[in-house]
Amino acid sequence: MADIERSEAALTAESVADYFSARLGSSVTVRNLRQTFPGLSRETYLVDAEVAGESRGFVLRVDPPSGGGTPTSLRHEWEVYRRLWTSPIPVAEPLWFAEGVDFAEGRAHMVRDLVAGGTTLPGLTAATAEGARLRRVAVRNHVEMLAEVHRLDWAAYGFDEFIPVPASPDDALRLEFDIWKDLWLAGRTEPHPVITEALYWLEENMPTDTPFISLVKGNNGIGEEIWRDGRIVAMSDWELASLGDGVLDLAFSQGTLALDDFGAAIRYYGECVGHEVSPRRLAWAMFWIMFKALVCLNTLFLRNYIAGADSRIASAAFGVISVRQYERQLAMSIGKDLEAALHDLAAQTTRSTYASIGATS
Amino acid sequence: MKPSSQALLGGIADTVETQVLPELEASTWTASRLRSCLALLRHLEQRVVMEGPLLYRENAELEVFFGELLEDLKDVREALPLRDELEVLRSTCTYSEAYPAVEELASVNARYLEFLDRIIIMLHENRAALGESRFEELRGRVMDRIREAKQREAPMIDAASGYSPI
Repeated sequence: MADIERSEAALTAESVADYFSARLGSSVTVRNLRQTFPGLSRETYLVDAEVAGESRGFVLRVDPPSGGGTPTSLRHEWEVYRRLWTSPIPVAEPLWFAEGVDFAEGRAHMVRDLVAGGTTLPGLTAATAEGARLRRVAVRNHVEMLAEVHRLDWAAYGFDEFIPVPASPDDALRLEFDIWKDLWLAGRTEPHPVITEALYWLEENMPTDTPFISLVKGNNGIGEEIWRDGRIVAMSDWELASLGDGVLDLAFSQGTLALDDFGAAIRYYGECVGHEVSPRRLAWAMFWIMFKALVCLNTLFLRNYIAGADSRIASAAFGVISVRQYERQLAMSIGKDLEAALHDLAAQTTRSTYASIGATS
Repeated sequence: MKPSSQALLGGIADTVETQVLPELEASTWTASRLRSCLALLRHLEQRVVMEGPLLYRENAELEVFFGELLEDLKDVREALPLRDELEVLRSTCTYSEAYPAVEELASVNARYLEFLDRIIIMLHENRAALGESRFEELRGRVMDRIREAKQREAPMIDAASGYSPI
């Protein structure tokens, strides 16, 4: 089982133990150091340790040598955790952030407490009545958690101190659009006319019915949050956190909300936040998330692979194959009505996550 | 030279898929790296055959497309610089060999795609001046061109679609 302990040789149990001992001012022994899979954006290590003889678990999150797979810094994610720890949103206790120190080759890293649980739920995909029940419970709980995040008074917790704030709810998606368009233009590896045209299409169809400005988590769902006994006990991985329209999280659940009836999940979310989500706003968000994923995969993963800064073959696979897949989906959708375009895309997959939403086609 | 590059790539991919990966626990990092390799091998299995002819055809058709589109825009002042640029492109995007290497074809293609990008931007920036009907007609021609290109390259991408990149 040694192969699953770590993927890269940069960190060892000994180096972590020495660093933690110095940092905590106590003798630390690392019984086990395991890197979580797949950890493409950042390296995440589970540290099973003894601190002054007492068992304790930590999560060590480190920028990869290439600098990371998201446009935000690890410090950005640290600042999110630091503020959420004082809020009603459950997160692991953030312990410290450091960079440029004599550890992990000077790479930026943060350490948080380990929350007992897992990033998935046993039996979640079982084709049984119990599996179906578990999926219903998990989806509803995830919706409730997202709604809590979106209703959080982000200003009271200082999120506007380091995250750009839209001028108004109507401008929430405009600010998001401008930021990510600039990232794309600055970092794309080559011309992509289909993306140029897609951006015009998205801009001219941009919804302005965002009900309020929310803290937006970004990537969310199974595989990100910490679950225990069928419920989320800590929300995790905040590297794409922003201030904007919470609908983006509904579109970025990475299949979680579609584990049960997607339409029912969206309607339940509307009940939780007190505002219905219009099908048009949701459709826009679904296409927008395709674009954001494409930006990360091309301007970071593929660019760094081409430059030799990222030697992971997965970066090449995502950058070459996944980007082209997203491009083709956008090419087939540009010019259409947003909801109709999404229905058409969904109809091409065996499991349509959009079948129960919005207009018929 | 026998076997062909496509056959060799396919053979390597088959070996990885049927003889190596099954020997590894799916949850290991080694298996993950092999899955990434396998996805790329399946992509390359098609790309090694398709890429050169596809780029050659694309480049030829784009040059004709640009000429026709900009001829139809000869009454648009903002399109004039692009007509001049097209002449420069035509004279500089030439191949050094009768059978150009893929790298050379790709380099020309990149210049043509950058030019297409600028045509798209010009159309949108002059949408009001063009009038909605004419704009939609021109945009439709550009999108048809893009979609055709995407459909042509599809086999290279679809070959890898059933394989996880991690």
